Amino acid sequence: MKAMKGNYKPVAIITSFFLLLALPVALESNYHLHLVIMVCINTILASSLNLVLGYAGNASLCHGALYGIGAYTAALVSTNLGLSPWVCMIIAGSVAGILALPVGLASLPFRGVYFAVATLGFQQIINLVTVNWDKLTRGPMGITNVPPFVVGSVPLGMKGLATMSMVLAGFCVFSCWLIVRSRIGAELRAIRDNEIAARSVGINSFWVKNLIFCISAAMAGVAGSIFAHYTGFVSPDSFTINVSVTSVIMVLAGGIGTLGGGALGALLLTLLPEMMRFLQDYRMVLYGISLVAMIIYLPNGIIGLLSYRNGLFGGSSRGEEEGA
Amino acid sequence: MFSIFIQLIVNGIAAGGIYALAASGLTLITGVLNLINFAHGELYMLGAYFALSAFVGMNFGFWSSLFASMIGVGLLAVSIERLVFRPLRYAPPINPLLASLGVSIFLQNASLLIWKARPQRLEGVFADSIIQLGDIRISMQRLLVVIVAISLIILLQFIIKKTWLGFGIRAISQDLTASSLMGVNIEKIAPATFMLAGILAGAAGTLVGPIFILQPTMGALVGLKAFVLVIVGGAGNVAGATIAGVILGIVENLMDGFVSSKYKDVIAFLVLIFVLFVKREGLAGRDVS
Repeated sequence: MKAMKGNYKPVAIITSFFLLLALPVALESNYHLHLVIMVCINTILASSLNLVLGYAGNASLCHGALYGIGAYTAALVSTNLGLSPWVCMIIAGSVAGILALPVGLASLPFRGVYFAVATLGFQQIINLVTVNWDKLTRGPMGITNVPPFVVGSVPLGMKGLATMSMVLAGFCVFSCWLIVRSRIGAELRAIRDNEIAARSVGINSFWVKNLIFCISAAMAGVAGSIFAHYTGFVSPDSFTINVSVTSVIMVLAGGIGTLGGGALGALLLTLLPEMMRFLQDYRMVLYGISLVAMIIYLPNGIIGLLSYRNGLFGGSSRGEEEGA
Repeated sequence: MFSIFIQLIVNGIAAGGIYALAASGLTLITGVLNLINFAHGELYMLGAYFALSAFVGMNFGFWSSLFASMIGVGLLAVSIERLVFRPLRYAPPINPLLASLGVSIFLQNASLLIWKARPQRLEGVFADSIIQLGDIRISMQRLLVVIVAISLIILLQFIIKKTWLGFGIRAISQDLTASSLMGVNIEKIAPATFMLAGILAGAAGTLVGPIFILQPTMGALVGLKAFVLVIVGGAGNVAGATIAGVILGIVENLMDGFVSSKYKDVIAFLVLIFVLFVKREGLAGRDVS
């Protein structure tokens, strides 16, 4: 809880957040506004994953699929039932959170790498079902004409959308802060650092881990619904294993188990491929290399560069049981 | 109906041979070096493309293309070990897992640049020859897959059981610290293990070249399935991975023929989750309680 060290810090963070809200007004090009929106969506996704990965110590590789469940729910509900996107967002979050329960129940008994592998199985299953259940999802063609966000009956412009996603991203990070500060957050950290000790003082570790997994999934679902209503189009291609991996790397790159980590990582990993656009065809090749380099040389993320803390990830208390 | 059943099983065995080749190399990497490598499917994909380049670009015959591709992929696997996995050897196990996914993004997109997205095909030695046994038709190419797969896996078993390299591999898989103290050098065994795994993946890729269509994305699903087979067969267990591979090939083909082709790729991942449940004690990721 770096933010709690001095009293000036929360004030500074809140002030700078409101100053940042002026950014969409200042930006002129739609491309830049698009980037702001994508950074915000990814911030929500990465922060949600950070709850599971950073605070509970479980590397989920199915957040791309949960994000997709949110996006598909929003798209299906809004196109079939004609509900307002704002209602769809809440429905999408709830559906993703509820569907995450069986995934969590099945995967959370496993620790470390095996949790990652089990969730990867779910990622593949959910993605294959999305591709093949054409009656519901229209298969690889995806769902088009997802209605945009509206206020009254006026669709939000790019600036409005950018501001809205910044507010939502800020709200999500704030919720993460509340969760981390709560009793659940303390229990999570206890479990992450030493599960046996945590259980011996009466923490129901399985239940707590499941709860946080569902909360995290709901948040990922909200991110998905924003994506669906913003782009107006969802297809299975947008929610593949690559999304899951990228979001894990966002958390790693930003700083695992830190509140700002999700946002920093989202900023970096959303802008990095864009900054590499001049490389054209070589872009994804270099992107792959930079991911590997980041894991080798920056295991503690950007925040880790700024303030070095030991045992942020796979600390000694967990490391030894995880080897295959 | 019965002949269709047999036909599907025959095709399934050929598909299973490919899975077995891919998985038996990966199981060594997982079991011996304790690392989860999701870039293995890309080695398989590169095996197919290396053979294609040797066959079309350099006018090699099929057998020399197969050999060239096995060596090429083996060397590539060694360099991946050197550049990516060696720096991460003592990092938390999730880091090499994520790095391997980065490697797979890199390899897929690099092949996309080199060989383009256009689906290609490798002409086999037995272009279209087919053996007819009653109602059952076996293409020579599929038979070749099975024969080469069996020979390579027997050879691998021989290397593991009878040679000094295999001795080192088995020692390290049992206890890294103890075997290091006894003079087994992990820095030599690790690249050798990757070389073996690369050779097998290269062979698998070359063998499917004449059967399936070559695309830079062809390895992704095979790599993930190979990993499932490693878990099912037990990490480090070559025989287990081989048997699991053949069974998966048969089950997928039966599913394809009798139920629906849509969900055949789901089977492997359902099995993965099921096996993780059943074998919890057998895996290192066990519950400590």
